[in-house]
Order: sequence, then C-alpha cells, then structure tokens
Amino acid sequence: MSNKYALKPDELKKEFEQKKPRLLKGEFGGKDWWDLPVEFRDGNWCFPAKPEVLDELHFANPRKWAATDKDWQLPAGWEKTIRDGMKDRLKRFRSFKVFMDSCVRCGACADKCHFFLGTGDPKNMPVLRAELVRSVYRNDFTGLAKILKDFSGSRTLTQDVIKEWHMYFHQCTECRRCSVFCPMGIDTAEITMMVRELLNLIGVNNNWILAPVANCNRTGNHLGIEPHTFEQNIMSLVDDIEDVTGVKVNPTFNRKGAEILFITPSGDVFADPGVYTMMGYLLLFHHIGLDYTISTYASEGGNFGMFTSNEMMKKINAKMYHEAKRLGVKWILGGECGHMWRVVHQYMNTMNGPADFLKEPVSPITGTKFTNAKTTKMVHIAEFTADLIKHGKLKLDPTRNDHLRTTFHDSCNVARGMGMFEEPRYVLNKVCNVFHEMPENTIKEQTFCCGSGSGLNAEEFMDTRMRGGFPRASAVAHVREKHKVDSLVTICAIDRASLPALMRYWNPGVTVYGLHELVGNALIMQGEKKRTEDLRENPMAGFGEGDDDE
Amino acid sequence: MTRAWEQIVKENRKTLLDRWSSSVVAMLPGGASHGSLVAAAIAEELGALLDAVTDRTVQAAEPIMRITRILAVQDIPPSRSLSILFMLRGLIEELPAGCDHPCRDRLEELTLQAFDSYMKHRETICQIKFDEGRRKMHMALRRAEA
Repeated sequence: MSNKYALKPDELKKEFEQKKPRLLKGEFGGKDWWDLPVEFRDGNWCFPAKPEVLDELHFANPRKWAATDKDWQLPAGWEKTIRDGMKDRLKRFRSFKVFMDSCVRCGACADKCHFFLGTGDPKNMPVLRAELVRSVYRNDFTGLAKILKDFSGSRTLTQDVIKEWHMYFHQCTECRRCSVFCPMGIDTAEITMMVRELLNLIGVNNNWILAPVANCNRTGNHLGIEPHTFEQNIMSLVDDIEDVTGVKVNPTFNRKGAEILFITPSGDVFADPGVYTMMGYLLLFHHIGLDYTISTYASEGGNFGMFTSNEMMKKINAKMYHEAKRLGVKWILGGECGHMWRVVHQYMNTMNGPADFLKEPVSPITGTKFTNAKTTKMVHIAEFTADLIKHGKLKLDPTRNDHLRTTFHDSCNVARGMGMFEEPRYVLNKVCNVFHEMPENTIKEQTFCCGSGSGLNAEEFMDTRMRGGFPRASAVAHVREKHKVDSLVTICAIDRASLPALMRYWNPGVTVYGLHELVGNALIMQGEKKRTEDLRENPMAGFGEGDDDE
Repeated sequence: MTRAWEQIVKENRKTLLDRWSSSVVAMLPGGASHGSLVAAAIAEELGALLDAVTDRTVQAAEPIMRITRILAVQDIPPSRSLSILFMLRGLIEELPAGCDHPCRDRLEELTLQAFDSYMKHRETICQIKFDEGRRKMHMALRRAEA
C-alpha cells in the first residue's frame, strides 16, 4: 500500500511547530501538561515510611522526610537507580514494556477513573497518569522519540518528575476499571505497580503500606499481632457469639491434620466492622460442622507487598502454602478480601506454587469440586457459601435481616480480578429480603473503587480518599434516594475499613456490612436462644421480646 | 426606574449559570474537566443555589450543604472555595442593564451560611479520622476498657 500521502518526518515536525497543538486551556494555555505544578498540602499526601520500618525491610534510603519538604533527600545517583530499575523491569516484565509502547491515546480510559471523576484533575486520567512515566521511557529508552523530543512528548527525569510520580501513582488504587475500557488491553494498575517499585528503590514511599508490610514480614499480619493475641481476639468474638446466639462455637488454631486451613484478612480479627464478619464465618463453620483450623502465623490474607514490589508480594504470600503444608490440610479456604484475591487468584500459583502437597478443593459438605481453584487450591468463601445454599445445607431466616435495606459493592479485585459477580449476590439474596442494585455502570466489572485501595487508607490522606470515593458514594446515594437503601454490603476488608468513612461523609445513615455478617445473622443455629439482636447487638426488626418470630 | 437585580438575574439565568459553573470548575485542581463527575455535581447544585439567591422562598441550605461538601475535600484553600459567591457577584455586576449594587447583601449572607456549612464538613472529616483510628484498634480498645 502506498504511503505517498503520508507526511515525511520533517514535514510532520514543521506542521507540529506551526500548529502547536495544546491540550490545556485557560490559565495553563500554551503550556505542556507537565508544566502543571504539583503541590503537596495537607490531605493529599501519605506520611512516608519511618526509617526503622525501612531498616527492618532492608529497603533503600531510610530517613525522616515529608512530601511537603523542598528537598526529598534522594540518594546520590538516584537518576541512575531509577533508569537501571526501569531497564531491569522492562526486561523482566513484558507487560510493562507492552504497556509503555502500545497506548494510542484514544482517551477511552479518561473518564473511567474514580480519581479523575472525583477530582477533575487531568493527570488522573489513566492515559495521562501513564504518560508521566511514558514520557521518561521515551526519552531514555527509545531512540527515535528521543530525537523527535517535542513531537514524541519525551522529557528528562528530574526531581519534579519524581514528585509528580509520587503524587499521581498514589492517586491510583490499582482498581483496573480503566483497563476494562482500554481497546489495547493496557492495565494501568500494572504500570502503577512498576512505578511504585521504582519509587521504593530511592526511598519514596508510604508508611501506611510499608508499616503493614514490615509487620506482616515479622509476625504474619498487618497490625503485627502476635499469635497469642490473635487467638485471644478470636476467642473474645466466640464469647460475643455466645452472648448473642447462646451457641458456643469452637474454632481451632494451628491444628495439624485439619481438612481445611481458613485464612482471612486480619482486619476481620481486630477492626470494626470486620470482626462481625469474622463472627459470621465462625457461625457458618459451626453450623455445617466444618473440619477447619486457623493459623496464627499465616494470620493475614491481605498482601501489601503487592503495593511495594513483586519480591515482597511473593515473600508475604509464601506463608499461606507453608502453613498449609506444615499443618497437613487438604486445601485452603479464603475469607472476604479484595487485593488478597488478586494475589491468590492471579499470582500465587506461579509465584509460590505449584502446591502439589494440597488436593483439588472439594466441599466436604456438598461434594462439589471447585475446579476453578484446581491450581491454587484455595477457594473463595462466597463461592463456598453459595454452593452450600444451593444444595440446601444451610438453615436460613432472611427476615432476621429485615432491619436492613441493602445494596452490594463489588470489590475491584474480586469482580475485575476474578470475575466473581453472581456468587455474593446469590448469597445476599438468600440471607436478606431487601436488595437493590446500584446503577449498571457502577457494578460488577464496571464497579467503582472505594477510593482507598492499594494502601491509600491513611487517615492523613482523608481528603483525597473522599474525592476518589465520590463516584462510588454517588452511586450509593442514587439507591438511597430511590429505594431508601441504608446498608452497603461488601466482600473486601479494605472496603469494610474505608467505606464507613466514605459513607459517613457523603451518605450519612448508610452502614457498611460484610456479606458473612449477614449470613451469621440469618443462620438458624442448632440450640440457639431466641435471637432478638444481630451480631452488632442491634435489634432485629420484628424479633423483639414481645414479637412473635416463630 | 431601575429594575430589581433579581429580575435581571432571572432573565439571564442560563448565561449566568454557564459562566458561573465554568468559573467554579476552573478553580478545581489542574483546571478540571467539565466532563468529570465532580464538575457535573457542582454545576447541578449551582443552579439550585442561583435560584435561592434570587428567591428567598427557595431553600439555600441544601445546595449550599452539597456544594460545600464537595469543595471541603478538594485540593484548594478554603478562602478560594468560599469565593464562589463573590465570583457570582462579579458576574452579576457585568450583566447588561446594570444592577449596580444590590445583590451584595444577599450574597454576603449566603457566603456566611456557606462558611458555616464548610466548617461543619471539615469537622466531620476530623471526626471521621478520629473514629477510623478507633475502629482500627477496636479489639485492643475493648481489652483496654474491659
């Protein structure tokens, strides 16, 4: 095919110089996008990792600093460190190389990011956020783009670029909503993961990510809870369950020879409202007589290594298989979490597997083979419970949740990372009577992030979290106004931690629940006393002392 | 006879609202896009607020609460956020058929209402941070309090 109509490079450059196309208007007219200043102020940056945290992890450049400092005390030769780090990752991760080269700037992703929708800041358009690093890549790693600098949009790596990366790659929660709409299949989350890795090489980081990583590395869970306290916390919940239901459940810990190892995010063991979800799990397992154990060493399902580096993600994940092997279980059951499931579902088998010592998961209650978990040997609690309900193995009274009018928030990593849309909805609809979906373009694979994922759940970052969560909050507001929804149900520990804040700000009166908390409310336990309160000790509608609930 | 400024504003409502929305949206970080959800949400509430500016029987509290709730968490200083009604005053004064003064009192009154509302939202943020810290330490605090 002839290209006689195509402009030659020098003609193209001439035309570009004449027209000087610019994206920016108003007070920024005539400037390039990278001329827009980055300004750190209270509410838009997370505290950096403490020196002792970095020392413990043997990470680079431990020091005291703040994003608002003029001098970030970057290590000598930091430019070379970044360039070498980038070169290394372009070689090791083909996805990174492809994503650097293949964007055609069609803009399909632009208005799909919750941070862009919630802030209006153009650098939060995934295409432009990725350009922050592509511009450096073009300058340092591609010959032609370096020569045609103006035309290609390449730029030199400076400290201001690092500040910009820190700002905007910590306004990406790796939720992957943009990737659903990208015709080239670019996964911006993976670009963010790479840039955060690079930033960690020079000590530009976030304490809310690295402190849990250090804790997890040391004691097995994000808060650094030691084994005896971990067990005591759960036994305290056992007492609460007995108070509410009259039933004494009997979890076991580190028991060798159990059939199943149960691993859940540690937020379910120490934080409100996660602990109520934990109570739901314990009731469920007791109800069906499951032969399971909980490890006080693999005491964390979450993996903040994913927000740090591939190597750290692998190391933190490894304890799951190690504990399964040590305890001699047949397979692993995993609790409600978001990014935990991206790691488990997409990386665990190749990072730390194959787990030949485990069996293909089979439900001991229904006999169902979870063939989708054949390689990882780890089953999601929502599909496990959905299977139990489908086979009529649970005695449920959904009217016990009649005090709640629910909607369901799909967790990004479970929905987009695993394609799990129907199982939690099936369970929810069996354990409660009032459920309304949020608008179609805000659920399932198009779900909006809570705005605090990927380790951005820091209190000092609250303003930015509220902006990033605005699209999700707006969708909840829609069903609240239309259907009087007052309960937001989710299957992610970060959601359970962050959505209460988001709801309180944007939608006061909406409460956040874990799915299995509602399962626990609805379960009719053998030998239970008359239930008048839910697991939070709130009165159930129609189950008061004077009400006839039989 | 000079016509009432309220009448002039009503006659020019669409033009005024477009220009006001553009000015407010341009105030957001990075010269925010009109296509963003936050810009659309602000623009929608500005219409209701403009109606309340000219007609005291229309409730101003709700649109002020919604607008300041958005602005109170944006990456812009409070003084700039609360300048939105001063922006409107400038735009009204630029209208043909001159209204030389008078919306000032009404806009100052609403600015003070907006200040109260903005501060309430900031207080909520502060309380949310405190409560989030407590929620994270739920079991530890329970032990300590037992």
